[in-house]
Amino acid sequence: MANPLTGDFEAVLQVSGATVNRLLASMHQNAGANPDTPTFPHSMQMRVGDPDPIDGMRGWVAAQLGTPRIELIHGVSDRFWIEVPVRARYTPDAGSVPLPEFIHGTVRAQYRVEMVDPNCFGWEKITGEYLWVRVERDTVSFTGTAVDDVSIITATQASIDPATADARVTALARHLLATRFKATPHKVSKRFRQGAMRSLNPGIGNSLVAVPIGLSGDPSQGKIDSITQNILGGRDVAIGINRDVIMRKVQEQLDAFRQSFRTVFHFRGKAGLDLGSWGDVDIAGANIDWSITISAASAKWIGGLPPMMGTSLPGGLIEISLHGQARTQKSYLNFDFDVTQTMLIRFDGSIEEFTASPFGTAIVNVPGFLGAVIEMFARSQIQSSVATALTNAASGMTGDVSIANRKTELVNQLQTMDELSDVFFTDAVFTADGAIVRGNITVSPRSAPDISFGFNGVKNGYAAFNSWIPGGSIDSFNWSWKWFNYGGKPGFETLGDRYVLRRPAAKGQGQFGITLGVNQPLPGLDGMGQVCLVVTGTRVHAVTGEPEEITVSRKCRKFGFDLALATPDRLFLREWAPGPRDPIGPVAEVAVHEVNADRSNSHGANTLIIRAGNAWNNEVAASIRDGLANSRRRDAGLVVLVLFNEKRLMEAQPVMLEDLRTLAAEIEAPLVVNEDVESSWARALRMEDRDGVEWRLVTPTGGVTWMHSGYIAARDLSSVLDDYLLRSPPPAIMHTTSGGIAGERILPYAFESDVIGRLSRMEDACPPPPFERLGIETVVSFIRKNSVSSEAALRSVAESNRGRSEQMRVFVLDGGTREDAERMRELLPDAMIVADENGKIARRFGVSMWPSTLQISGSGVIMDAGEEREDTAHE
Amino acid sequence: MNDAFLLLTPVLVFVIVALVGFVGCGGILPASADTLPEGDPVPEQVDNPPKAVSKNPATKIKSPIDPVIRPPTYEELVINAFGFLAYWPLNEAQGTVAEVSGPLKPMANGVYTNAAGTPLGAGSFGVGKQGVLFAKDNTDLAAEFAGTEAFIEVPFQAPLNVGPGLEFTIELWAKPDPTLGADRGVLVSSHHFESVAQQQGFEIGMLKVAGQTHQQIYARVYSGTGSTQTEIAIQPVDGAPDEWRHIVFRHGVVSGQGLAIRLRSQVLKTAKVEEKITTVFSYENVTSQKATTLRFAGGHAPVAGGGVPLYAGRLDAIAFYNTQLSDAEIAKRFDMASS
Repeated sequence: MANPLTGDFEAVLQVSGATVNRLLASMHQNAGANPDTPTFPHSMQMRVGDPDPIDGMRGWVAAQLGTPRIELIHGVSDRFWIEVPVRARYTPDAGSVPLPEFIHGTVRAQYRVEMVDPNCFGWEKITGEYLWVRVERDTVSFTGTAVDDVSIITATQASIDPATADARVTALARHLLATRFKATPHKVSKRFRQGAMRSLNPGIGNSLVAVPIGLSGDPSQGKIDSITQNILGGRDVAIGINRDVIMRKVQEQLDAFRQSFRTVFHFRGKAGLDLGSWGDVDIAGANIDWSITISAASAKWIGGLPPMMGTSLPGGLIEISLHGQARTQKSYLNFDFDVTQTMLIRFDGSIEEFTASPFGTAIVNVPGFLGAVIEMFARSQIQSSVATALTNAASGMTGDVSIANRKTELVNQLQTMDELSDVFFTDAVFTADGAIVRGNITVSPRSAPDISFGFNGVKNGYAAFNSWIPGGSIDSFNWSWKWFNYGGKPGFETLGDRYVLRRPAAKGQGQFGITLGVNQPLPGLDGMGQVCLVVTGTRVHAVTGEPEEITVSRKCRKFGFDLALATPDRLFLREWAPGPRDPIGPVAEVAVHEVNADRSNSHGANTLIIRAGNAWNNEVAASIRDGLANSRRRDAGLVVLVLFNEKRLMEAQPVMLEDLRTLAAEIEAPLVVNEDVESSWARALRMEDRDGVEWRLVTPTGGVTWMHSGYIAARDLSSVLDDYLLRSPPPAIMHTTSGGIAGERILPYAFESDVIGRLSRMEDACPPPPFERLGIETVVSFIRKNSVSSEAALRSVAESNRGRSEQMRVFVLDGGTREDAERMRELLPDAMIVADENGKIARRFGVSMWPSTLQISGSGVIMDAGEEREDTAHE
Repeated sequence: MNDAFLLLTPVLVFVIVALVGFVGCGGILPASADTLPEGDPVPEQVDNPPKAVSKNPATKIKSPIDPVIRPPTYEELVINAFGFLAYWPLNEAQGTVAEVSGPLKPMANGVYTNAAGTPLGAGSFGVGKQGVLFAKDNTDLAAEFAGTEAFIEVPFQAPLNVGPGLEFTIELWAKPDPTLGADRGVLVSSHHFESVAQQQGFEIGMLKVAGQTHQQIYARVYSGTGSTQTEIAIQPVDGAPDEWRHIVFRHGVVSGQGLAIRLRSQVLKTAKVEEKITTVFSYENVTSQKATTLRFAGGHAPVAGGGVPLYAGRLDAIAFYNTQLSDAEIAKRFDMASS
């Protein structure tokens, strides 16, 4: 009769379905990081329908793939279900059967394990060595949505009804799984053939895969169907051992013990033996040597016992029965005896091995007339001898049922999929049927989600195609955007079925390159601003294997026009947020941006800079409006930058702001309105009159090609534009970085303004700060002198950081001198203050916005890239 | 290892269930190449790629000095510079057009001509001569002038007629021939002569000075009506008199000097930089004779129909910037040609 634990087999290994899914998640997470372990791709792009269309479909598919999940089928040995979350974008070839562009759902399919047909060419002699996993085509299904973007769809496209769309997606998936993603036959060892595993799935959360194993060699023969019981007990892995196997091992040890047991029992008489009614035997002074042997030894499996008085037995019991003889030259003193010894088998989780020891003392029974006397004299010695002998025998027995080798093999196999996986057998339970050793399988901890987005290929929106949640899948993309200095309405959109955020194409391009007729403009495409993305999703828990919800904090990207000048001077713009007076006007600076930080980029377009000082009026506005409108040039991109004196704009009257908004809407060039922060523009452009109107025309390469002071008539401005604009592409909006690249190790002198000087000094009293050896995180805040927003950030840090020492704080004071740094130190005595007078340190870290922060790990690696850091300053 | 969609999953099950003694599991099937993109011209996400996944993410070290992956060519150095406006490489092997590179192409293409305004044939000047970079790049050619008739006329372009108060730089390579031509040879001219007291624009040229083996290099800017010119000159002594020399003329504000002009010369493969600087009294660009503003290898006649001061020798790599090149940038260009 089959053993309930192991069926027909001596031992069975069971692994939970959740563990299988955790390993699948590890493969998804791998993403090629470790080339020695497999990767399940998280995204893919491919053509489909080549060379033969699939039901008429031919085109291009780009897809994000979530972690696959396996669903084990109860009581089968050759099938299982797989389902994969898919978010795809389909682009049909012209003339092919269409499919909606956005496909989002789950592809589910059943796979069957079978042998290769021996009639197949080349497989005649080796088919038995291979197994082939093939999709059951009829089981392939798609559940989800497939829709087109209504706002983008062209007039020639016809919408596809959902049923048809689902059918086509299913047909596509079915074809791909059966062809392109068809597995090749897999060679397996002789010990592993078709039907050698069985999956059980008696209920939710209880699925498992079971495979017979041999404790010391090949698994025994038997029917795989005989494995019916889940022995995992909620754990990841378990090995069930048939009690008969244990008993066989015990018996083997007992047999050996019986054959080898020889001992002599010495008796030195000092008195007579009281034989009761038999009278007294005077053996005083007698010496008797009994030769002790064991003639029979047997064992009986008891297993575990129910808890008694709330206490469970810490192992399983085996009752050992021995029958032995004691012989001496005086036959009347010969006697036989029986010994019963209970052994306790335990599993020691610290060494992951079975141990056995006598449980209680042996019961010694000497039948016959000498029994009572012999027992009195010999019991303790017999008990001792038997216990010692059985303990020795037991150690051999436990060695026979060791799982050490099985574990090593298991770990090796697991680490071919996840190099950090491991197995820990921690405890065992003993039943009437045998022993079950249970343990945990650990896998790599889940990596942090990688969220990134950028322009899509046709640049009519953003794509977060490269975003993914390792070991999980994305459920929704939550986009939000706002315009630089609130130059337009902010917006947000949550999308689950697509990784793109698009806006309808522009209806045209303005005279100087501005996009016209955009219904839903987006920062970065249509102007300066910020786009943020929050991703929600689920991932397979690294410990439980269950899905856990996850929300990835907001990642933002800022975009601005390239306004750099061919000057070594630093140029700044101010970013503000609306406050209580909103929407009347800006009230609070939230950041200062340097626009000339990265001079490696060349201009995309010309820039007309009007420094209005305090002299902005309708005439200036009219000159700009009419001057641009009357220019004949159509081949030059242009950005118009209007700069006011400091605080002029921040404290502007609503009517002036409204006028500027009107002007922005009227001209066919992007209008950027800002303040001349710290008069940096006036200095760089040598504008003497800080209160009047100064005009400069900057070529795409940053040189000034025309200048004018005071009023200029629209007609003259038109003429200037006609003459001096250089041919150029439309104004380019660039991603403005504000931090280093995560993963980079900072150099020892990263916070040194004068690296060359420092390195060239022969005598240097201090080594560079040992960031790589601090062992604690360092938070670096880049702040700018005389900046309201930087000062606010500094105060905030000072208050929040008071009394905290788990992080090191570094402040890089842009534009500040050593004396400024010293003064700051009074405010933050525990922080490291670095003066960065000329912005060299900031540029080294790619910082062009103040305040900014970045984190450095205890080993000196930049942990958080500033450019994608959450920006909460405006919210 | 990047495996095909769903390919691994069934295999994984075998790996899992064959935990003990499954010798045949050699791992996972290799990646399928056909999952790779096969020609979609439009990538899904064109920037901000995912972070590189690495077992040891901390290995990349950023230097304070950006590494140079590939040295730029001379032309790349020029046209990628801030303030770049126009570049005439004079690389033509034939023809009568000196093509310009940059945003003013083709409007600022030069024409080999003479004082009468007649486009000249190839016999009147020499194109396709070995340029200053020829030794390291045999595609670099230069134009050669005999100092008798030919010069290059560039049609008027407003950005090249830099206004007062603005910065500009003219950079060129010249290999003069002291045996030919008149005493004064003009290298670059943007000049209008109304009268001695009414001149606009600037001029860069070479003068044969008695007693000197090397020609003097001069530059002058004119101050417009009622003013005088500001002139600066250097007397080279290094190198052979007919060796290639890098000549850079800068106009703009110099710290501690105010509005100034600077003239710099350095002979190919020599270390000595010869430079002069002087404050500009006043400068006015050409506003009255826009039709013939910019000339190379020839100047503007002081009177209509008068003789044009012509340069004799080779010219190469003429660049125009509307900013002042820094010394470091100038050195970069020189080093590239000279190394």
